Amino acid sequence: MSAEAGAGGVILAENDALMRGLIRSILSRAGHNVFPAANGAEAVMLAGGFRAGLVLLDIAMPRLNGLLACEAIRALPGYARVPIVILTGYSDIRLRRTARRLGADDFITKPFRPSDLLARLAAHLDQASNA
Amino acid sequence: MLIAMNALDIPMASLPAMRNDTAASAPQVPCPAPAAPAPGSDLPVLALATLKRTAAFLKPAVLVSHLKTLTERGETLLRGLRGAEALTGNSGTLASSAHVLAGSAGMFGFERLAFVACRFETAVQSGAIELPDLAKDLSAALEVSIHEMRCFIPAAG
Repeated sequence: MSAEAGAGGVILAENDALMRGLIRSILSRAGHNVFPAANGAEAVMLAGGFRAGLVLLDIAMPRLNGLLACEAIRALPGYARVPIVILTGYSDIRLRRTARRLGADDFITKPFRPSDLLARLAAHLDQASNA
Repeated sequence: MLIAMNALDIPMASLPAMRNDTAASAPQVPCPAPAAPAPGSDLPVLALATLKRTAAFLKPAVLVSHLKTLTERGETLLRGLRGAEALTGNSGTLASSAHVLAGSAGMFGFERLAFVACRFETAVQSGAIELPDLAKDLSAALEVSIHEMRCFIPAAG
């Protein structure tokens, strides 16, 4: 894990408690400091309070969905270059395009291999730290 | 466990030859075409390698807890499919449950359930006419998957 990830931590927004717990375990095991949120609005509030190293967002969430949360977080001061990754059960190409347009850097579909998720996040964190 | 039963699969190619062998003695009755296997039925109920990969990131007690939750969700969805929700057309709730279940079941290697639940959700969203058949497929996938999930949950007491 890069030092930047440890310093900034990962905001994880996922409304399903089981998946949130699972992803949190995977990220924590890899040394990431995880800040969980149960919906998009919570994720935006968390992001407004500090500068995370990476943001991981589910799409189908109550209060504020992941796509709108992505747009809101990207607009926050200090978040122009923070990697935002969408993690969802939907694989629709139109959703991918919308996510990109709203500022997402990557789109990962569930189910996923934990090692793949960690590799993709590491690549984004390295890229962000070298930018 | 059911995954071991894959080894007993009989090649379908052998069936016509068997029919020819008995043709002379059998009455010439038109035989209905065999029903096509349900999509996803070729997928394993449980891909053990996937379960192990995910389990490697979890403490044993947490893994059991997650599988218990998955089992409960499966049972709830199964009740919904068999009950009033399906009959009254409240399939939106069932589709939403299927969506949540598909993602988490797939993470733990329940590939058939993840696939069929995903198809069911898509069919509900598009109003597909084969929805009743997909509901039956999903019920069947739930039954075998729940059985497998229970194998990993220690009995209480």
